[in-house]
Amino acid sequence: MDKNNLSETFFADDDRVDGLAKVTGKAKFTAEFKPAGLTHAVFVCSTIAKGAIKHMNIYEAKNAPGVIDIIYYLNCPAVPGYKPVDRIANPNARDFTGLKVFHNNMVVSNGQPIALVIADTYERAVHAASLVKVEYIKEKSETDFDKNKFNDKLLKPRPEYVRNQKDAWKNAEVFLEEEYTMPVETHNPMEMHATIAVWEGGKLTVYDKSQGPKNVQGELGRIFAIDEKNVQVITEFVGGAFGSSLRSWPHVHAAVIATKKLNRPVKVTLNREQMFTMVGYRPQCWQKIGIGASKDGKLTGIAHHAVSNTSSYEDFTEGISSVSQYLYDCPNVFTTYKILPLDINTPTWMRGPGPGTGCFALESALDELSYKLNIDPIELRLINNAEVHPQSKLPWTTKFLKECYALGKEKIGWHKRPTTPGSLKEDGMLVGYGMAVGVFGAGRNPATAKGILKNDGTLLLQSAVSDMGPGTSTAMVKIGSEQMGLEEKKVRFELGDTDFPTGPTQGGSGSATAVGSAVIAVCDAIKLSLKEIAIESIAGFKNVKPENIKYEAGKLIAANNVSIHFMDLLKETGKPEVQVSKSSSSFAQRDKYATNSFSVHFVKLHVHPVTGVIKLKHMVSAADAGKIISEKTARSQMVGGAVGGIGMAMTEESLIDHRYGRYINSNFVDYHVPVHADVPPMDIVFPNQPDYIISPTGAKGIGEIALVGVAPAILNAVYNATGKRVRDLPVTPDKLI
Amino acid sequence: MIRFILNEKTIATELPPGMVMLDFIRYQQHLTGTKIGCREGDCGACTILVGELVNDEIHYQSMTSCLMPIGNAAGKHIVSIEGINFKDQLNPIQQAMADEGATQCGFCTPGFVMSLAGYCLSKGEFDQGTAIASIDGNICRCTGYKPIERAAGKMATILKERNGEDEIAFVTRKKILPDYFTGIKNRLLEMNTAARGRSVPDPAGLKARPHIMGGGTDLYVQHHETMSSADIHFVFDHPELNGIHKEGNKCILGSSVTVSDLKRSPIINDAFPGFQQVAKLISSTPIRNMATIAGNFINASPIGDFTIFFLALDAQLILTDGITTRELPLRKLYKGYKTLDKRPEEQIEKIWFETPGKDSYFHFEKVSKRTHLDIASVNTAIHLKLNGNTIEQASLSAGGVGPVPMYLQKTSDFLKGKEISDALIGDSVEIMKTEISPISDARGSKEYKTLLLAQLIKAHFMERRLLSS
Repeated sequence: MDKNNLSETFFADDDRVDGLAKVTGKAKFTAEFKPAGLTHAVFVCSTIAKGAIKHMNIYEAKNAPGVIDIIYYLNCPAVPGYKPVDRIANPNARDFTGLKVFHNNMVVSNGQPIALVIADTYERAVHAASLVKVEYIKEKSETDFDKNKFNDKLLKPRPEYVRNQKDAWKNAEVFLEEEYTMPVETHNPMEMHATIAVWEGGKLTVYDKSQGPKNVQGELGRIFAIDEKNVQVITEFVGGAFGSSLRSWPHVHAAVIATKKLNRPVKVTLNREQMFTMVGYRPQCWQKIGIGASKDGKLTGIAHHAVSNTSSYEDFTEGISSVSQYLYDCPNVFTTYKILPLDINTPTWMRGPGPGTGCFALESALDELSYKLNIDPIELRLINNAEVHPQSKLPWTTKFLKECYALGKEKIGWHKRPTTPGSLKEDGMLVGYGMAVGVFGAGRNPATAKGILKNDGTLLLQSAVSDMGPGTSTAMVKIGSEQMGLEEKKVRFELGDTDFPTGPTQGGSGSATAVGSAVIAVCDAIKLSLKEIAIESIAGFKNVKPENIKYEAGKLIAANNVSIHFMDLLKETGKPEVQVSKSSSSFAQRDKYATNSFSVHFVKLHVHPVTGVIKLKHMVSAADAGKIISEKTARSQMVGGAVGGIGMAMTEESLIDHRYGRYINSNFVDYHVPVHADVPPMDIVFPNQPDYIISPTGAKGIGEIALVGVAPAILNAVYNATGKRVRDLPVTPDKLI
Repeated sequence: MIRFILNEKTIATELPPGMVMLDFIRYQQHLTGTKIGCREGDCGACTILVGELVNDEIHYQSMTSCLMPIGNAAGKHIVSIEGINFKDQLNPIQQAMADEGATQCGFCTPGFVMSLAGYCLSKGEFDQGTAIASIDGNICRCTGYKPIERAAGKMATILKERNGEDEIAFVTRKKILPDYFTGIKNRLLEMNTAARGRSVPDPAGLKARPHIMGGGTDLYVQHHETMSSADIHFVFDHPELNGIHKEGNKCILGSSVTVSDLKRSPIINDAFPGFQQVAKLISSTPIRNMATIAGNFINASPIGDFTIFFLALDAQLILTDGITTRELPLRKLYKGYKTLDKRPEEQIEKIWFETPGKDSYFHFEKVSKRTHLDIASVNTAIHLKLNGNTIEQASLSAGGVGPVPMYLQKTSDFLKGKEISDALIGDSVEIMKTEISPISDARGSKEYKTLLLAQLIKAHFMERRLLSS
C-alpha cells in the first residue's frame, strides 16, 4: 500500500497520519529501497584504537564469490571536500573536520571504517569482509576518561562564565560540594543506520536515515563538488534517531564514494556493533557542583564545572554547565567547561544534549541541599524561581514552571513523601519519592513549506523535513486542518524529499514551531489568494477589500453576507488548485525575550532492602511546552522521553576495555535499553498554555524536556528511599548494597 | 529441499538450511515488514509466528526470525506481518495499536503486532498481565511502552470472549487474522505426510556433521557469519528428542524441550509451584519458545539460568553418539570455561532428574541489571530435603561466580544434617566464599557478585520463611 493511498476511514482525528503504514509493516525505511542494480556494501573496521595500517591484504576477499570491489585508502578516489579550503578565495569556508573516510592509513579509533566491501548480496559482502587481513603499526591509545579528566595537558577549556563572585557558595550559611559522573550513552535507535547512494548521469540520489535531508544534500554537494540541485536526498521514514542522524557520518560519504567509483547503486548498512562506533553517542562526563544558600533557602552561589570527552580529531561541545547560569535565580554563578580528546569516535547530540547532562548534576545537588536545609525540594525551587532570565534579565516569552510543580505534585501524591530518608516501607520494600526539573531552549528556526489547495477540497502540504518518530506529519496535518477549516483526513503532509521546499533539521525540539509556522504562513497566503480570486471573479465580492472578507470553515464571507466555499470558487473560476510556497523566519526577538520550555518530573519507587533492586512504581511528568498541538503524539513523546531518562538513570552505559579501546557491550543484550517491565504507570500533565510570542503555532517544543531532569528525579527518589546518594550513573543494584 | 508454508504460500527451497528465516523473508521473498534491529534475538523487531503440528493440532508460537534457521521451519507455517494483513482493513491488533498511538517511529511496530498476534493464538489466560507478558521480547525506544500496553490490554479484552472456542476459529471469525489460517492445518498435515521420513535428520549422521543445532538461540549469536553455510545436524523437531514425561519420581526431558515446553508442562508446574515466576525472569517469550534446555547446558555459559536450576536438582544427562549411550551427571559436564566432558559427536538425548518431594524445598533466584530480557549478574538455586527444621540433603548451585556454572559442593555438604538458623546461614556464606571465584565485568565487580550471592543465599531461606529474620 502506498502511503499516499492510505484509506481515510481508519483514523480518528487525533491519530497518527502514518500509523496505518506502520502497523501493517508497509512503512518503507531507508534500507528497504531497491533501485535497479543495487549492490550491498559492508565495512571492515579497525581493531586497534590508534596507529596506522601497515598492510591490508584484500586478495582473498576480492576473489570471494560475488565481490565487486573493495575500497580502501590505497584505491579510494579523492574527495574534493576533504582538501583544506582556500581561505583567501573563500574566507567563510571551513575545513571538513569529520573522519575523512579511506583517505589515509591512520587509525584514530577502534571500530573506524577502514575498507568498504561491495558485493552482489549482503551475505557475500559480510563474508568477504571477514577475509580482509590487516596489519597495523600500533601506538599507545588513550580511551580512559577517568584517568585523564584532570590532565591539563590534554584538556581543551571553553570560555569561563562568571556572574559576580566565583566562590560565593563557599561563604554560604549552608553549602555542599559534590562530584557527579555519567558514562557514555549510545542513541541506539531501533532502526540501524543505512544509506543507499545512486550516481547516474551526473545526478546523485541518496536514500538516507537522516533527521535533516536538506543538511545532507548541502553537505554532499559541498564535499563531492556537485551542484546542490543535482543532489536529491530521500528520507521517507526514520526508525528513531534521538540525534544520531543529525549529521552525515562516514558511512554516508562511503556510499557516495562507492557509487561514484562503480557507477552502480550502493547500499551501506551498519550492524548493531557499528551503531556504537560510527554514529556518535552522548559523551562521558564529570561534573562538580558547589552550591550554597542562606538558612531560609535563598541560593547565594553556584559553581558548576564540567569535563566531557570528544575525539582526537574533532571538538564536540554541548554546553553542559551553562544550565546553572539560568535555571534558578542566583546572584553569584561561576561555570567552566572543558573537553577531553580521547582515541574514540566523535560524540554527538543525544536527546536533551547539554541540559540533559547538566541537570543531572544541578538537580541532584539541589536535592542534597534541600535535605541540608530541611526544606522541601519543591519549596526550595520555588524560593529560587527565576522570574526573569538571571543572566540577561529579559522576561521569558512564557514560563509556566510553577504550574508544573503544582500539577505534578498533586498527581504523584507528594504529601506521602517521607522527610527522613529510608523511613517508609511498603510490602517490605523501601519507598522513595523524588523530583527534578528539566529545561531546554525554545525558539523558531526558518522553514519553508508549499501548500496546494485543490478544488476537490483537499490540501497537500510539503516540506523537506524528516520525522524520526515524534509525529511531525500528524502535527502539521492538524495545523493545516485548523487553519483551513478542513477535516484532518482532507489534509496530507509530505516530507522526506529534498525536492520539497527547504525545511529545518529535526532536532532540539524545533520541528513543530518551525515547520508549523511555515504551514500557517502558507495557509494565510492561500486564503489571501482565494480572496483575490473571489474579488476578481465573483460578483458579490467585487470591490471588497481582502481584509473585509472572512474565511470560515472553507467559506469566504464578505460583509454583505455573500459567501462562497473555496471548492465552488475554484470550480466556478476554472482553477484546479491554488499553489503557494511560503517561508517563516527565525525568532527575531532574542533581544527582548528569553525562550525556554520547562518540565518537572516526579518519581515514586521501591528499593529491595536486601538486593538493592529498584522497582519504579509511578512517574509523573509535567511539561510547560506551550500549546499542545496533538495531544496523543505529545503524550507519547513525553512518555518515550521519560523512558529514555529511566535508561540514563538506571540501565544505560557503554563500556570500553581500555587495553584495546574497544566497546565491550555493543549489543542489545549487554547495553540495557529499558524494557517494558522497567516502566511504571505514568501520568503526563500539560499546563497547555500557548506561547504566541515565539511562533504562531503557540508551541514551545517537547522532545528534549521529556528526558531532561528524569534521571535526577529517579536518583533523588532513590536517596529518599535508602539514604544512599548515588552520584555516578547508572544507579545499578551494586551501588545500593 | 525444505518445504514449509510462508503466509499463504507453499515454499520449497534448496537454499542452505542454515540461512536464517529473517534473511529468507526479507531478501529471498522481499517481504520487508519484518525488521532487523540486532540480529541477536534481543529486540524483537523481526518477530514472526511459527505454527507447527503437535498431535495433529496446529500450535502457534512467536519466534525471532533472526535466530531461526530455515532448516527448523520444515513442515511448519511461518507467518510474517504481511501474512496477517487484511486487504482493505486493519485487524483489531493493528487498529488498537493505531488508536492508542502505540507507534512512533514505527520500526519496532511490526514486531509488537506479531507478538500480539501470537498472543491471540495462545491457549492461556487473557488479562492485562498476560497481554503485557506476550510482548516481553520487544524493545521500543520511542513510545515509552505505555500506549503499547493499552493496545495489548484491548486485545486481552477481546480474547476474553473466546471462552474455549478453537483459537483459529475465533481469530478468523473475529477478523483478527485472515481466513486462510483455517486451511493451514490440513495443508501442513498433507505436507508432513508427504515428507514423513525425509525431513527428520538421521541421528546416525552425527559424526559427519560438525554442528548440532537445537533452537539456534546461542549458535547464531556466537557464529552468525558461519552458520548460514554450515553443515548442520538439526535436532529441534526430532520426535524422539521431544516430550516431558514422568516415571515414578523421575522426570525425563527430551533434549529439544524448550523453556516454553517446561512452562506449559503440568508435570513441571506440579513439581515446581513457583515455576511460572522463574520462567518470567528468563529471557523473553520468543526466545523461550526457541531455546532448548540441552542447548543451555551445552552452551556452558557460567551464568546459564536453567543450568543453575538443574544443577541444584542433580540432573543427569543421557549422551549419545548415535551408537553408544552413556549417563553423566550435569555436575560433571563442566571441566573449565566452555570446556565440556563431551566428544564433538555426542549429543544430549535425554535429561532426567528426581522431582522434589513433599519434604523438600526448591528455590531459584536471579538478579540482573534490567528487569526482563537480561543475563543474570548472579543466579542461584537451592534444593533442600527437610526433616522439620533439619536439613537432610542440600544442593546449592550458583552462576556468575566462576568460569563454569557452579555446584557449590562444600557449602552443600556443610548444610547437610544441620538445623536451620541465622548462624548457620552466616557460616554457610563464609564457606561459599571459599569456593567461588567471580571476576569483575560488565555485570558487576567481583565484590558485588560475592555480596549478591550471600544475599541471595539468605533470600533462599527467607523466601519460605525458613528463617525468622
